[in-house]
Amino acid sequence: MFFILLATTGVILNHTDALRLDSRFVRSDWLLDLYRISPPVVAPGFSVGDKIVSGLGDRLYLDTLELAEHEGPLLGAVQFERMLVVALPDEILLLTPAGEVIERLSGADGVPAGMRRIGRDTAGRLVVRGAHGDYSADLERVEWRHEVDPEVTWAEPVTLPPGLRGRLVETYRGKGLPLERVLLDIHSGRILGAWGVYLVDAAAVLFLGLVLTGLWMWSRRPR
Amino acid sequence: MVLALGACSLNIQAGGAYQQPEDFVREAFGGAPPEPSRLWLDSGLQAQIREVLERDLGVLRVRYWGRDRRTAWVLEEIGKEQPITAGIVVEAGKIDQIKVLVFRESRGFEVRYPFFTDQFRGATLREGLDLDREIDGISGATLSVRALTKLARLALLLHAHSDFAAER
Repeated sequence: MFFILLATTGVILNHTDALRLDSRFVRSDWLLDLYRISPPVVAPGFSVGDKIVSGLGDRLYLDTLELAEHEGPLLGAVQFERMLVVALPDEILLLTPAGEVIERLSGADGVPAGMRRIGRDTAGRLVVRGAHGDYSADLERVEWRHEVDPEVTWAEPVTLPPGLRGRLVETYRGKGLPLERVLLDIHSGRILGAWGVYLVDAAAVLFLGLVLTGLWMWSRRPR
Repeated sequence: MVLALGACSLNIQAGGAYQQPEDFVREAFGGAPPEPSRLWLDSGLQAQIREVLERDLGVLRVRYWGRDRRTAWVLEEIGKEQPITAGIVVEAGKIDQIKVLVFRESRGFEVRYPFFTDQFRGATLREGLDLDREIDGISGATLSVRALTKLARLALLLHAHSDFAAER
């Protein structure tokens, strides 16, 4: 049984690319629990029109559509000139209403360091609050000015509706464990923890012993 | 007060940033850079980009600067684990200059030196979206060399689709 498992997983793993094992994900709850893949705490999102932008772990979502990976917390999102503008600690994402990334603006594009909030002022300009104050953005010229109206409507976090929250958790967990990982761990014995590896080692030694003793017996048979 | 592009500090480790992108662009146009332009990537161009980078660029438009038949691009590609930011100037379909602006990896930084980057000067794109010449590698910096070569090919490809590709 053991050798059948070893050989089968080995053959399947040999065709990882063809079978796209690295982009197929395990959805079984008990396996996800075994790997301790649980979603991080669901943070509040930001309402943009009839949709919600939210961040879960290192992933960013527009409703349940995964947008991009990112580092750090989601700082805010606003609608601006037929675009959705999403603020992350070191980056601003410009999205189409459907969630396609138009452009990513980072520190190299002059995005103010230490960004904390995003909003719009009474003149309708896009405004960000950085470590050194508030800036209005000219996204056409990619310039940042210290000219901001006193009244700014900042993006405020909203609690995710329970339905969306549940679907996000399911989506997050559903892309956490590639099939390739599970097969590799079955093949190596790691699926059973550290002792599983020793078990596979012991089985391999046993198998080697069988081969060697078999050869020895064959060499001693009467000719 | 207008803050120039990139006036805010880059969030990277000290020593890895060799030139601010806006300084590179200014230098590329003799101190008087043009307004930035944008190149929208249609599905055909996205497919060609995928061929060059072996991945999607992940954006629908790219910002660049152009005047006459000269364009400047600030592009990024992963070396081993971290993105390398390079500034590339293309003139009349040929690489005029390639410069590493930010290098974030711990190894392979030799690609920033002229002995390597000068190999790209005059390079053009031939059929198959390859460079018209072989680029000599640097031992220990294979992935960085590969990343910069991809970026050179990408800049030439994007230039060919820009408003400044042909004499206007």
